[in-house]
Amino acid sequence: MSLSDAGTEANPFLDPLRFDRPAPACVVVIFGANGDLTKRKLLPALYSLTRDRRLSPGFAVVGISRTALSDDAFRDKMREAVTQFSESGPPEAGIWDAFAQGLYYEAGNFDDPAMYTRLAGRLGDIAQARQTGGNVLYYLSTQPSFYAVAAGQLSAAGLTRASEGWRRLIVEKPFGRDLDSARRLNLDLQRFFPETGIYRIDHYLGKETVQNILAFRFGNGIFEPLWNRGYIQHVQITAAESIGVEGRGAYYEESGALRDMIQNHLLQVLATIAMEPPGRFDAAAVRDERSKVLRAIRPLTRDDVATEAVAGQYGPARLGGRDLPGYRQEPGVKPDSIANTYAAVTFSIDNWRWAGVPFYLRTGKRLPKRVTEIAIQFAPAPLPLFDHTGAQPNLLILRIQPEEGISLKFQSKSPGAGMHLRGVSMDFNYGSSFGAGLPSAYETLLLDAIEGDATLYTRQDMVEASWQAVEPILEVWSNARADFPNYASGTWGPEAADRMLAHRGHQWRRP
Amino acid sequence: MIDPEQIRRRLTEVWTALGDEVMRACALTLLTVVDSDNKANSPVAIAQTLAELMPEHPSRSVIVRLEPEDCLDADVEAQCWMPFGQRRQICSEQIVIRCSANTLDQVPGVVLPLIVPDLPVVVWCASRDAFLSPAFPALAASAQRVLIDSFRIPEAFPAPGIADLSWTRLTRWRALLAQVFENKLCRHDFSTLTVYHERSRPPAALLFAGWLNSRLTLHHIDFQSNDLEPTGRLSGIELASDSARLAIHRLSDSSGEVRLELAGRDPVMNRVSLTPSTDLLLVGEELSIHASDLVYEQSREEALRIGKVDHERPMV
Repeated sequence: MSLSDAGTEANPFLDPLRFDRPAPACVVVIFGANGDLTKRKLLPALYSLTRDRRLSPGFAVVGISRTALSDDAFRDKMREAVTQFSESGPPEAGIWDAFAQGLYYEAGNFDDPAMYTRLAGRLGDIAQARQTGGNVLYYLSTQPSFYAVAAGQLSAAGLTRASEGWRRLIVEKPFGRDLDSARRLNLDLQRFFPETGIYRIDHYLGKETVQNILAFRFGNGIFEPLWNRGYIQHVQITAAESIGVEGRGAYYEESGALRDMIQNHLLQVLATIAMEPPGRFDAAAVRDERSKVLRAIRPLTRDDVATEAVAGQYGPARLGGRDLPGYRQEPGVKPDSIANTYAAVTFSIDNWRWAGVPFYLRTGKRLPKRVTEIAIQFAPAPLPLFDHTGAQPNLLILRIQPEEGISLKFQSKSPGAGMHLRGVSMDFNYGSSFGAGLPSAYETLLLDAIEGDATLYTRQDMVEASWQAVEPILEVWSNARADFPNYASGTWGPEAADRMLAHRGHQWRRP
Repeated sequence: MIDPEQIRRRLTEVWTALGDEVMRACALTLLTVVDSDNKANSPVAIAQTLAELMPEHPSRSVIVRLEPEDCLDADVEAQCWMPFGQRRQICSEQIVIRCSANTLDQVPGVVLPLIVPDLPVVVWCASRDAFLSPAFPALAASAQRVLIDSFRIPEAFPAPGIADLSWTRLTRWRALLAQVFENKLCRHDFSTLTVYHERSRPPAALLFAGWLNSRLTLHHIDFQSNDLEPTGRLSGIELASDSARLAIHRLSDSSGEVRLELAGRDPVMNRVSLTPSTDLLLVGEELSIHASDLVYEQSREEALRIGKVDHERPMV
């Protein structure tokens, strides 16, 4: 085989049976390189990808922050971060040395044009020294107020276009704080990067078990025929935390559980459960289907909000011999705060597949346990042949965390005389079947962005559709008088949330 | 004497004794053949490897242990581990069958009823005596895949129908080359290959040359040895053309260096990890493969041509 036409020739050394296609060489530029996200998630994820041989030998990182640091000092700091936060423990010497060789640092303010001039010089040198082919991924791990500033400065310095290679931008949530601000942010970013180059990260979509929903639904033939209003009675999506706001009081004062969890993470999970099968597994087709189902969510009227949405805030409690503060006693929280630390919403999807099937979403802080799961409750058998006293419904549980797996609850005959039924469980546990540790969501998502695969990233229309779904609730709640706190720490939330299901004859599952 | 039905009953007893508190896991039947007196690949070392493989590849593990004295008997036990961050132990089952060269031919009939239905069956043969025994093809016939390390059992190279761990040792080197070639600047008409290896040429060196020659048009292939103790690994490779030279050399047990020289440009050097290829990693990689390996078959044929080796021996 001749490689003289190397520009178009396929890589002859690929072997998908043995190893994944190598990610192209590139530079990841992290704005906010001294921040918590960089230390806890981004650098450990990039190191893990290097250790697992998923990144090119020429891979490089440029950290940007205000603090003055040398490249070597930055490398030392990042080694400490990986040692502390990597799930696989301290870095291995040989692998770390190879990885650290590609770590660089540039100090400066995000609004200072001179810093971008220096960055341009750095990127040119790195492209030459490490053969990165001009590929650059910018990661904005900063306050959202800097997103448009950094994108604009990158553009002004000529760093958003390349004569060779690609330029991409990752932005973290929140993508606005309501529909209007989300639209403005999208317009701001799209002035400097094309939509195809903007990667809005929602780490929930990168979780292995959320991706497994797609495999479960579309890789098996037996479930999809049941996946509709004919067989499914209702769906519950729960994301519960046992901890409180833990020092994030000031952030929660601004956001609240509805914005922090439901508008993005849980609505994306809902979209994954409810979407139609895509024609093919690529970014455009998958995101089209997610977007369609988000746009099919019926907007709640002001009256609906009273019966279909519940806000909550935890109060103080004594649990296990410990006194736990209520939300209003947390640092950074106003003593009369009306921020919600719990939110439950009933969404209806107006399409032929889901008409009449309620999707109950709930999330909260200081609930009894940390658990994220989807419970799909099937309709009962049409004819009760047996003594159904105490019969439990058929439930399909998709556990996202912890103990990732899938369970199917069904009725079985109790051993012995008579025909008495009892609920039993058929369990699949991710760990027992695959054993190996799951890659972190950031590993998956960073690698996808480097490879140009936006399937698990959120598109502009998806962001706006999710804001549209929660906006009526935000409006009502911002003007309503809240009788907070309305649930004690260590309970499953306010009683009103139980009533929200009870009026349809349903009740929350206790995970 | 071994009664497979008795082993199956014993398995039921083991699981009953463990109760509901443990989770049972099984993704395949793994049949491992070992010599009891093999110093280089001892039953203890292999048992350790199997135990470490279990969390990632939970199996019904059947160990056939070839003893010097005449025997034929079996034991059953469970292997349990606590996955990180979880509350329940996970267990899988292990059956040890002891036999001799004289009784090996009775083992396939014992193993067949012990295979877990509907799951893949893999045979890992770490015993040269067993591999050369006339009874081996019947044992291998129950498996979809047969794993053998031709570095330790040279007679197995380059037999068709087996997965050779010498080939698995090359995955990291091949992945590195693929990574380098993702950068189009690095793609040149390389025509010369030099493979550096330890004292005696391992099968991996020939397979690597075979693989490259099935991908590129090489005009010259050279093998150079050094004084290092043979471990079955490569020491380095160099590809050259009129205008470029690409070299990957092992620097230590765990690291190497990729060096690229292009005419008119400064050389580019990058440190890379080259972790040692332990049995755990090699067998683990092979257990993850569920399709026929066409790239290996092409490389094996080219290796045969290059080395003019003709040791083909029909397998199953």
